[in-house]
Amino acid sequence: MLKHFFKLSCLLLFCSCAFTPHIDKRTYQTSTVKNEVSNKQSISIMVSGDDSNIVGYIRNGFGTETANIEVPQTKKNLIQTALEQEFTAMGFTIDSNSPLRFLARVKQVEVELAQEEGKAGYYAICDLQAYLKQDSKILERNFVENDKIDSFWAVTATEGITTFYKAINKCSNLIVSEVSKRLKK
Amino acid sequence: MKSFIVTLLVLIFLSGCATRRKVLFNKQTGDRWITVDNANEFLTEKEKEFLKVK
Repeated sequence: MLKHFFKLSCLLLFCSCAFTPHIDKRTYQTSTVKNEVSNKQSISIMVSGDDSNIVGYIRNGFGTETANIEVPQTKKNLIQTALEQEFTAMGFTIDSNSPLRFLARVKQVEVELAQEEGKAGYYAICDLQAYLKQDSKILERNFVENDKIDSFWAVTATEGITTFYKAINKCSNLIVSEVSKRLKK
Repeated sequence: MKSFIVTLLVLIFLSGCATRRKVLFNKQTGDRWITVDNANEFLTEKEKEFLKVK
């Protein structure tokens, strides 16, 4: 009886990693490259959409979700923080009363387990629908960036979150760059 | 019979952390800014309030 109990305990321990939520405590870090806009401008930023802090799932071999991958902020607040940091790094001033207004709607911001060509890893995507109000005109554009990590060896959820933040960093930088180019026209 | 059941359980449990999911992200950034003619159709009330759409 004790032998069977021991075997069952070992089996439960082997699969425990699949059922434990991964809660990552890191927050978004801005890129260190700073560029200055020629005329310092103020901008007001708003993010709408997904209010969840679950950014992915640990899945078993059958594709079933077994545990959450979570970050400290909700996706909406995370994108807001990322955009404010990147616009500030570019020389903009964040001002809620600014006539120049930028709205980002979260379409798909997540990290997903993936397997391809014998490797396992994570794909992260940041897909935002953006609206820019300049003078009395409203302009619209979709911004998508992704990042991935894969390996023949085990890739942890921690590395998945690093990939997730890289995708957000790339998307935020692209948005700031394109908005700056638009304003120069 | 017992050893067969145990082997089966071991195989099921060991698949716990494995992944068999292929994800393709083919989306791309739009190539240009597009002027929105009728913002009322695409925006929520809060978004309209933020963008000061009448």
